[in-house]
Amino acid sequence: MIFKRHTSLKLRRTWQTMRQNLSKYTSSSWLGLLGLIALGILVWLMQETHYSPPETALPNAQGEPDYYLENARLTLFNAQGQAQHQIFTPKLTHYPQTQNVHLAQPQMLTLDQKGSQWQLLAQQAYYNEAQQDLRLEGNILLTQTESQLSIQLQALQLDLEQGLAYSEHALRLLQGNVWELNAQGIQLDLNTGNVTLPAQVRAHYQTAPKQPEPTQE
Amino acid sequence: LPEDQQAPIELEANRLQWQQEAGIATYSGQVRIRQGSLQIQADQVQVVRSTQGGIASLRASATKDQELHFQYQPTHQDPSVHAYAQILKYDTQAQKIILQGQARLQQGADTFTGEYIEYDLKNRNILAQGQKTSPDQSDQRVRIILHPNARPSTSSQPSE
Repeated sequence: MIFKRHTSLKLRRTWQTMRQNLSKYTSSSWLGLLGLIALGILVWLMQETHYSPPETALPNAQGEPDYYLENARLTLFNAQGQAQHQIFTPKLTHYPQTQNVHLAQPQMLTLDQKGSQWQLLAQQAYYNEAQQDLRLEGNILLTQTESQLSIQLQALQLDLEQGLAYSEHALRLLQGNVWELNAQGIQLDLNTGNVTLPAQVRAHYQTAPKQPEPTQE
Repeated sequence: LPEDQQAPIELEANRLQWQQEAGIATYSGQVRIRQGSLQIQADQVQVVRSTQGGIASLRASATKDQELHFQYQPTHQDPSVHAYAQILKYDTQAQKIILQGQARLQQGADTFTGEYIEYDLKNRNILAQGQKTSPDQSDQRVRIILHPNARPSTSSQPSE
């Protein structure tokens, strides 16, 4: 019994000393403590939600991807160290087994020898590391603004090193709003702008309407 | 026809090579060009673009055993003009064609043959030249066959 009375006495005394100590701290230090706790919780929450998972599942038609990039911008340089190709893609996925890189909705800029620009858009593209070529697929649009040239087709192979584009697919080539050509297949030298259409060429040239004769006043 | 020049131009070929810098497009393989009543059929046609993107001039050629064919109708009343040769040059601005190599030009029943024929599509003047061959061979002279009762309103000057 003595032992019990002795411990309760000890507890009461400790609690009184804690209360005496606590009363010394003012209300501002209590606020500071609460602020620290809130900041800690906020940082913890940010850690959790900052890296959201990818919006759509990664295409794994080529085996298991090992890494992917979002909103990636790639620049390829030629042997002289000049930027020759620039590619932007909202999603780039790498497949180690096939050494393929899948690019969703790629937008590509390519400079030719004179520095004028080709722009290429497509639904998707595959870059093969071994062969160093790029295969564009789906609603491809090539444009060269300087010469008002645009080419539309569904599949195109690009030799990035040589700057050559080629396809066996049907295509439509427009220049300005006067020339329209349709053909089967194309070989395009992005450096010189020279085009070869190897088969079934149909060209239509819309002559400008005749200017009205100036009426004598 | 007068309205031909405003008609769109249609070209068909097996193949096209286009040199953007030089502005030259070479169509080859069963080439057919049509603009209104004007038609050209050849094995190869080289088209030189004008600065506006149109056709400034063209040079058509036929392979050895073939000949190219040019056809056009001056007016609705006149019969079509047919021209055959190894080489044809057409200057769209000057509206003039030049035929070279076994050249032959026919309008209705009238025929002009020679090594070199120039034909002005606007005023339908014809300039035909023979060819000086080696001294021992007879010159290839210009030959003109005009049918009096079907004389077209054409003025022509044959010259050596």
